[in-house]
Amino acid sequence: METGGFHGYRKLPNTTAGLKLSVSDMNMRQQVASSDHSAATGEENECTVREQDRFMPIANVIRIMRKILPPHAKISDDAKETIQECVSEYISFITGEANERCQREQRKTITAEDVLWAMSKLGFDDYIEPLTMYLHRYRELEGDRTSMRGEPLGKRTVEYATLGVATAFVPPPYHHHNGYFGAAMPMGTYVREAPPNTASSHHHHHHHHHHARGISNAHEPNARSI
Amino acid sequence: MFTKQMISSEIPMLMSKACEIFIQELTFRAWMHAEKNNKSIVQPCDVAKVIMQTDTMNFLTEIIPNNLGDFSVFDAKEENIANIAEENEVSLSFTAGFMGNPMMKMDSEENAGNIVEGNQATLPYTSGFMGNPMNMMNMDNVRMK
Repeated sequence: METGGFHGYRKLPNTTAGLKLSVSDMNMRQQVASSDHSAATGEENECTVREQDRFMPIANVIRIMRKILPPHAKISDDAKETIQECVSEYISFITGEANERCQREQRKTITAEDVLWAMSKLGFDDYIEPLTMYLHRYRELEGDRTSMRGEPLGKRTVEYATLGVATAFVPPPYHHHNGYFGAAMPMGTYVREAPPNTASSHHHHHHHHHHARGISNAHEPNARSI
Repeated sequence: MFTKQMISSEIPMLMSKACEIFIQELTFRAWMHAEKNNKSIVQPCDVAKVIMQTDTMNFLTEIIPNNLGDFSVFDAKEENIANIAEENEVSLSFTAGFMGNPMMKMDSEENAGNIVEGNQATLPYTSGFMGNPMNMMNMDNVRMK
């Protein structure tokens, strides 16, 4: 049994951190509620951040870590907690920047584009492409339920049409990702996450297959352009 | 004063995927550091090393000292600052090739050719790679040729 509970989150000694934490908290609550964003909800819980909401659930973090490591690799409990803390800081870092841009432009709703812009500005350029493709597939699957739908670039449209076929065999990613934000549930709930984890493994199998096709299909256009 | 902000319903999904990529990048880099020191267990100091050596991870430096407990570990290695700087340069140049050939990435610039070859060699095996989003990053390697 993997140990490692939640620990006190050390607040950074500046106002910006508080702001970022609030934005991050809104993000987490949004997912837990599984409903459209609501200013009232954010306002209601803005000043009462619960302990289990400060970090992503460690069981999920550990599962993600193990997927990238060889079977013989081990991770110390302290390292698991270190990375768990890093993820919370990452969320605050990105969403804080996205929020600042949104406010600068006097807009009320932070969009996916704001988040992607923030990642690019903060040095995570390598994340933009996989996330953009993921976002496009999500929008296709959500259809009219998506509130902020942007038109993809022409090139993306081509790739998207190609990926669209494979997508037909991939379970909706939205359902899968609910599991990542089980922070609001009591610790014992992680045991019950086991069946969804099995589903997750299945999902990722398809997900992987899908991306493999995406790579092979996308390669030719790139070769031609070169 | 904190202004009331709303978020698009796409952001939780987008951030959760971004966090997955982030966790895997941080974990893999820490593992490479541990392996370079002939260890098979990732420790907080491996994560801390990655944070200090990778520019994009510098926003995490404030949470290192408390977790490591003894920050003087890095003071003792002050003479390695030059090496760290070199490693930073190398890692910056090949950020896009992060998943292509990680071992070569740690070498000096003179092995750039090998890195490119390594990337080519890994392409046929992309289907075997565990981290799906990381496969997409391989596309950057293709374009870099």
